[in-house]
Amino acid sequence: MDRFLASGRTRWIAFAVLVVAIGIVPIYAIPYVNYQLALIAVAAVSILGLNFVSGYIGQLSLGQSAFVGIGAYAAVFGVQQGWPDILIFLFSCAASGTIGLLVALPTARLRGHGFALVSLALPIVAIPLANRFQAFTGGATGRSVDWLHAPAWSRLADDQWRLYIIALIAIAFFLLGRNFVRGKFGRALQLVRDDELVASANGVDGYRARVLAFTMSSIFAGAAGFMYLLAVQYVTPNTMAFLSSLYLIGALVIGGRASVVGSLFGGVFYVAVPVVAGQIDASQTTLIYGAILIVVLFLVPDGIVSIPARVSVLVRRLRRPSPRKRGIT
Amino acid sequence: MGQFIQLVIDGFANGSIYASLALALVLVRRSTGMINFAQGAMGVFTTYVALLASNGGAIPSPVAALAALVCGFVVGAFLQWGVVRRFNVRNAQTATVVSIALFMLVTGICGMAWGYVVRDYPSLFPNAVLPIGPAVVSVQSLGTAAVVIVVVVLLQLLFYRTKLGLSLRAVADNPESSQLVGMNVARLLMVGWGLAAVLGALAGVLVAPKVYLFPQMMDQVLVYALAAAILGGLDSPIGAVIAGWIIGIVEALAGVYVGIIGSDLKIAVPLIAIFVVLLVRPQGLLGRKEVARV
Amino acid sequence: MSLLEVRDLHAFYGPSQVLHGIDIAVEAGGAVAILGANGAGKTTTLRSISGMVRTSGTIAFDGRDLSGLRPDRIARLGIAHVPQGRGSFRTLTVRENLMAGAYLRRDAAGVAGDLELCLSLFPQLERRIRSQAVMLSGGEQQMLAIGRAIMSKPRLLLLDEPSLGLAPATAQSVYEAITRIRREIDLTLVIVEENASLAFTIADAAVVLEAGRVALAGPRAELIGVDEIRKAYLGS
Repeated sequence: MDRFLASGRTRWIAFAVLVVAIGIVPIYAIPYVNYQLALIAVAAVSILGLNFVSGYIGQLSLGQSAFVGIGAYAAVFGVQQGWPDILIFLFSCAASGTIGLLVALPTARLRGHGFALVSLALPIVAIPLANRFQAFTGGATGRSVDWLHAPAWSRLADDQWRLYIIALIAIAFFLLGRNFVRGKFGRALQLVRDDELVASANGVDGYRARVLAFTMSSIFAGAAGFMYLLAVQYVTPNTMAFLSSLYLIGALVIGGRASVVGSLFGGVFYVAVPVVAGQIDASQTTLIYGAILIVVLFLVPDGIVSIPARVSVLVRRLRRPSPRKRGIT
Repeated sequence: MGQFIQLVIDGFANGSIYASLALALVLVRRSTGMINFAQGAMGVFTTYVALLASNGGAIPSPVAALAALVCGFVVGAFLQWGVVRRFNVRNAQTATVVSIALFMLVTGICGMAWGYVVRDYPSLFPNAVLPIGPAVVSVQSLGTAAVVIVVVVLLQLLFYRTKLGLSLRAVADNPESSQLVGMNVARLLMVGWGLAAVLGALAGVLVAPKVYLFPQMMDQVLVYALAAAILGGLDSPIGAVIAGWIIGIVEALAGVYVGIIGSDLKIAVPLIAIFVVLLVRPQGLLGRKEVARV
Repeated sequence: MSLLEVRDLHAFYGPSQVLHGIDIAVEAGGAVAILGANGAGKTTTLRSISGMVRTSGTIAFDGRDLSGLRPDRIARLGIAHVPQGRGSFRTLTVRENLMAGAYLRRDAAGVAGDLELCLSLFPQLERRIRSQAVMLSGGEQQMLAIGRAIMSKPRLLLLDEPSLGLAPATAQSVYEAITRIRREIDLTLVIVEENASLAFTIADAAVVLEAGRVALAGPRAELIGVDEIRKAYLGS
């Protein structure tokens, strides 16, 4: 059974099914569903980026929401300038990526806690800054746009067209991310996470790896910011809230650290919780996150994505009880 | 000049609050090896309990505050025993995620039980002012600073003059050797977390009158406290306290005397300070240098 | 009846088994050395007695079964363990280290007296009594560790490689100190050593471990004559 799940062919089938679903669903679904799907894509790409830093290289970043915000604001700028959409997209990625690189260069030299603190500082400082520079950011009320309408020949509604574009970007970035972590870069990152001394003995420079991971992470966040503006059509400083960063980390862990598929699950979770919480009591999102995160950490610390593997291990153990000495702990 | 003295004293008072929470962070860090991002949220919870205990003003606020401290001890010990102990928190990533989960859990519980509304919280001190030289200083600031100083001194006495204190330090230093001399490490870790939570509760009841009580009340204080703890060198209690005071005073002065930093960007000051210090001296001002043993 | 009796001891670190059925008996007042090469399971044996390792089999101390007891409970019964690498409380002072050893005791006068005894046995420690343990040399930390163990007034003292990392002269003085202690206090010893000749200056019996099993055991007089021991450990 687990061989079936893990086989490359199964994965390609699942991927194909996903692509087909993405192709069909937006046409038949109501705008609300399309909106949620778009948000899932935004969250998934943000979390995949975050995974590079926090999952693969093991350095928790508490500031991803700030980079998403930067990407979104950069897109606003591009829209206001009337740039072609491709340029706006590149600008979003570049803006976030550049700031990410600038932050990473000095910060990557710090050890775990210093790094976490600086990353935490980003959304905390970003919000008052965004409020300050009103001319550019529109202050506390933010900026709204009316952007990227469906072309007449597609005979689609705006939200459908936008969802297709968002899905396209998401798929592209997931493929990009997948290649990134599968290749030697991904292995290098994990080597650094597991034992930096061993890594450097193998010629992998921990500092460079961290800078790379963080920059990649912010580029992905920039793309997510672009997608966010496209889906939501406005941005406020609150997009960069510190709590959002925590939710992203929570969703990442619950979905699965150091896992591309896990990032997708994380994205789904990130969007699903406020929706589900809304049925009971919208203000309880934080509590639900905290409770589920603790439970997941207890039961499946490697995230939802590890459940199939765990189940098959359990099944195997139940079938063949191994002879063990009854020890006293 | 008068304004300067006032700012320094107010800054010192705020700094005392940061120092108290920073000391809590150091305590937890020394005993269990992790940074507890939920330390502030725990303090918020106990402040709500104090509000409950004050019974709408029927019970005087110092008594209610005492109730918060006791509650803090219980909550801290319980979280260590019930949650933290069950994870390998010596692993930095696990520890961070667990404490973030606790942060969300505790904040969420406060939100659920008391709502995301802003409440008044009575000060422990009378609303009066005292002339000191050319300045006019609030009794609240003086009182805040005094209370924290007293608590810090008491803790020092506990840690360095009592058997319990010795055992707490021993467990933080070498848990295995502690077991071998007969110390019940699990129980002592609960005490350590309990004491840290008391400090967090103290910070809570001291800051609530100024910023009003709501579930995210201590989020900003936590950032300052983290800054102070890291600046002081994560394993140095004195360092954390002194750093807290410094941050409080610098923040107060910068907010007024440095034009571009308004009241909203004051929080950038300690963050920038830490960033610079960490780059130049990664072990903080008073910390020990970490040596990687190959 | 022996003070310490270990029977059919198996020990596990996680899924791997390190000890495969060890038998050791130590008489009250006696001193037994556990010898063997690196990785033979000597340290694991001591750690098993102290309750720090998952085991099966019997460990009886003064007739009382130690299985399943927590290490601090076992210490309470009168067993002191000087771990490999000394196990000093690095940031505590020499004095605090020694007082930590007396953690379980309630007799303040007795503790003060034993502190005096320790300092007279180890004058180097008296000179450094206010220094943090981390500032002490290897030999001084070893003496500190032994002093700390003595402070608990143990009936059984477990010593894990007291000569490890020490210059021969220093190791010698550590062993002399142990001999002096045995003259002052009623103490039963179990010493893990790689340096057999040093161990035999104190031990009256020995157990030789090989890959988690007892390869040889017996009183000193017997073992010293055995060729393997001579070649492997005494180098003659």
